[in-house]
Amino acid sequence: MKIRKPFVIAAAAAVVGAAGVGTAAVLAGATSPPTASRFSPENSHQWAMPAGNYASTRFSALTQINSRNARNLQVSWEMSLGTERGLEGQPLVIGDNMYMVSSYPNYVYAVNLATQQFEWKYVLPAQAAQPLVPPGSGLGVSAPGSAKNSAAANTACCDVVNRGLVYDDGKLFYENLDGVVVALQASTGKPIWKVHNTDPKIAQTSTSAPIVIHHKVIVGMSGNEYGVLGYLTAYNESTGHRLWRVYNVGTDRMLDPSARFLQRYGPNSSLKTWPLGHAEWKTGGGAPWAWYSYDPKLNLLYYGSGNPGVWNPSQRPGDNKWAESVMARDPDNGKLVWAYQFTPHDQWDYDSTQEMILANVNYRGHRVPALVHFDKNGYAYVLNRATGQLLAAHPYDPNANSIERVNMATGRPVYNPLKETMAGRNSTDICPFAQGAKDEQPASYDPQTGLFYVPTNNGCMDYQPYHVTYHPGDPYVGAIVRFYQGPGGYGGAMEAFNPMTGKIRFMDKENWPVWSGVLTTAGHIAVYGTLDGWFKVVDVDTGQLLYRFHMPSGVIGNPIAYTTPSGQENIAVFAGVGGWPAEYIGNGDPNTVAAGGAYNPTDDLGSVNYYAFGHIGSANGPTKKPLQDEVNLGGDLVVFHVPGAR
Amino acid sequence: MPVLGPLWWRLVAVVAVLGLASGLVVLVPGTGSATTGDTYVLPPSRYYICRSIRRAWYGTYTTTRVIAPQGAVTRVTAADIFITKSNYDDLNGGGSFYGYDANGQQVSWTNILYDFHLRAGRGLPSPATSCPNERGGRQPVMTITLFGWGSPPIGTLELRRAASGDLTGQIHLLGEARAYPINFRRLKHAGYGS
Repeated sequence: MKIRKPFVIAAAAAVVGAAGVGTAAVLAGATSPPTASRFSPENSHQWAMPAGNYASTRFSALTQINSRNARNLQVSWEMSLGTERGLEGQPLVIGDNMYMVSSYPNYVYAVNLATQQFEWKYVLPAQAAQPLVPPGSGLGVSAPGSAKNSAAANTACCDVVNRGLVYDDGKLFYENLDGVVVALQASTGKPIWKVHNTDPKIAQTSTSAPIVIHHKVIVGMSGNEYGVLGYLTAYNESTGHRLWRVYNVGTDRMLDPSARFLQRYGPNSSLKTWPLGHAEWKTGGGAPWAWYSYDPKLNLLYYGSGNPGVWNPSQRPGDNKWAESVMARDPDNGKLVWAYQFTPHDQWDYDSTQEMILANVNYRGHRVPALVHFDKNGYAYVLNRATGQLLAAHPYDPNANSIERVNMATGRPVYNPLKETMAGRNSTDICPFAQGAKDEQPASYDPQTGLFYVPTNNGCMDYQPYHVTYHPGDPYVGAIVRFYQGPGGYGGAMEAFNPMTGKIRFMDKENWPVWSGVLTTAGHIAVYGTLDGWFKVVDVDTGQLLYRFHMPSGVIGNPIAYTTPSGQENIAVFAGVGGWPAEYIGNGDPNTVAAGGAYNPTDDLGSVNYYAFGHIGSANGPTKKPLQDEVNLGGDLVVFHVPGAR
Repeated sequence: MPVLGPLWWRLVAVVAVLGLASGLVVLVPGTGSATTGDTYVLPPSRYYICRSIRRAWYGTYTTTRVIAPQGAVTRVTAADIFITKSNYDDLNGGGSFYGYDANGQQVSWTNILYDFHLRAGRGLPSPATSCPNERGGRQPVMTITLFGWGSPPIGTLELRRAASGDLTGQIHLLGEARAYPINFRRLKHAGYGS
C-alpha cells in the first residue's frame, strides 16, 4: 500500500482545549499525518475507525471545509458499491486508499483516492453468486422463481446492512451478514483468515463493524428478534484464533464478571432477574449488534446490549439483565468490570446498542471521564465511564412519554403506567416507538461547542403483546405493533443537545426520521443526510442550513472527513436507503390492504410491511408523499469538497 | 398494483421477520388515550356474534397439531394466536404462523384474526346471528380470516371450541385446494382472558 506524504495540520491545536466539555486530546485529537511508521487510528487526515476514533465522537479536526465556505461545496466524485440495500456504515480512509464494504452480498473495495479507481475488490466466494439486490433480505419477501436466499439474508432483522470495516496493522477486518469474520490484507485484498462467528441457521447474523484493541478483533452479532443469546467475541488479529467469548445474559460463567463486578452486583446478577426455573433467559437476546468504544487510559471497552428476546414482556418477568445495558469490559480478557441497565424489563424494544460516546464533563466542579449515551428510550445518559456511576439523565426526545423520569438515587427509570405493555392489552400512544428516539444512527460530539449532535426519530406506537413459542430460526417476537409519526409535525430531527443540562440548543426538523449518522468538524459544521435523499451541512451553533445536495438515494450512512493525497479535505457519505426505515418505503395504500387487496411485495422494495409514516396526512404531521416517491434504492458513495479551499 | 400470480407465492412471499417487530407505520395517529382495545385500521366485522360466544373464545392459544401438506414443501408447522375483542366489541386477534416456503426456507407470517363468524351449518342461519347453545350438541364452526399484518394474508381458519377451551379445526391456505387439520391448546395465564 502506498503511503501518503505527511501533511501539515493546524487544526488539532484548535480542538484540544477549546472545549467547554471537551474530550481529551488522546480521544479526539489529531496531530499526526498518516505515514506507515506513524499510523494512528486517531489521525484526522484519515478515517481509520468506523467512528473516527476510539471515543466514537465522529468529530474531525479538519477545518478546510467550514461554516464560511460550506455553501461552495461540490461533488468531487461518486462510486457505486454494486448493491442496492441499505448502506448503514461509512468508508475508511487510510494512506492513499479508501476502503468500503457494501450491504449484503458484502463486497469489499479498495479505491485509490488519486485515481478513484479500484485497487482491488473482494467478496466471499459463497456470496458471489448471490443477487446484488437479494430478495427476501430479512424484510419480508422473496420473489417468485428467485434464487434461494442465504439463511442470513432471510433472517437479518432490519435489512442486510453492514456498518463497516475496521483497520489495524495493515489488515482490514469485517463481519459478513452470514457471520463469517474475514481478515484481508489491506494492500492486496487477499484473505488472511476467516472464521464463522455466528450460525445463520438459528438466525444469528452479523451487521456491526468490529473494533480492534491490542491486536484483538472484537465482534458482536445480531438476532434478538429470533431469540438468540447475544455474545461478544475476540479473535487474534493475526491468526483468527478465538481468544474469548462473553455473553450479556446468562450464568456468571457466560457473563464472565470481574471480581470488582461480583463485589458490586453479587453472583448471578443476570440469572436472578429472569423468571425463576424457566429457560426464558436462554432466548434472552441482549446481542451487541451496533457500535463499540474504547478508553485506552482505563483500558475499558464499552458497548450496548440489545433487547431481551421476545417482545412480549409478560413472558419474561424481571429486570432481564443485562439486556439493554452498557457493558464495560476489559478488552484483554473480556471480563465484565461494570454495567448499567437503561431499560429494566423492556416493554417496548428499547435496545441500548447505540454508540457510547466518550467525553469528559464537568460534574459538581470536577472533570469527570464520562460516557454519553442516547438511548432508544428517549433519554440521554451521562455516566462516569470509570465506575458506571450515573451523573445525568435527561430526555432528548421532547415527546418521550414511556418513561416519566430517571430516579437518580437508584438509577432506575420510572415508567408511565399507561404506557407499560403486557399480554392482554394494547397500549397506545407510546413515545418513542420501537425504532427509538434514536436507533443505531450515531451521534457526534463536538468538543468545541461541548454539544452532542443527535440524529433522531419522532415516532410513537401502539403495542399489543401476546404469547409466542420459540422455534429456532423463526421470529420470536409476540407483539403486534403499529407505528405512526409523533406530535410536532416532523418525522425526525438533527438535534444539538447538552446531556448535562438536558437543554436542546436547536432542532433541525425533517420530514422523516434522521437515520444517518452525524459528523462534526473543527470547521464548525455538522453534516448529516436524510431518508428522502438530502445531504446537509449546518452550522454547529445555530443549526442554520449551509449547504444541501440531493443524493442518488436516501441516506442512512455516516459522513466522514479526511484529507486527500493532494491535501484537500473531502467529506464522504453513502447513499443507499434501507435498514429498518426501509419499511417507510411501503407498498402504499393501507386502504387497499385493509380491504384485503392484493399485496405486492415488490411495491415496498423488499420491505415486510406497508408503510405510510404520515402518508395521506395525519393529526401528527402534514400530508407527505410516500418515501418511495421521493427516493429510489441505491448503493453509492458520494464525495464532496470545496474547490480551492486550503 | 399487479395482482399476484399463483397464490402460493403470496404465501411464500412472507418472511415475517419483523412482521411484528417492525410494526406498521400507518396513516392515522393514535387518537385515543385508551390503553386497551385494538387500533388496527380495520372496519367493524361484517358479522355479529353474540356476547356469550365471544367471551368463550377470548384467550391465547398455541398449536398442538398441524398436518403439513404431503409432497409439498410449503407448509405451516406451528402457530401462536390470541383472541380478544376489538373496539367495536367484535372478536379479533392476531398471531404468528411458522413454516416453510416453496424453496424450503423457513418463513413466518404475522396475521390479524378478523371477521370471525359462525359458519352456516346444521341449524344455523347464514351468517349465524343466533346464540346456539354451546353445551348441547355439536359446536358451531367459527370461520376466521387471516389478514396480513406485516405480511400477506395466508388464508382462513375454521375452528370448533371444545369444552376445555381448546380449538380444533382446519386451516385453508390461499392457493391450496384442500385444507389441513390444525389444533390449538388454550394457554392459561397468558393474557387475553385465558
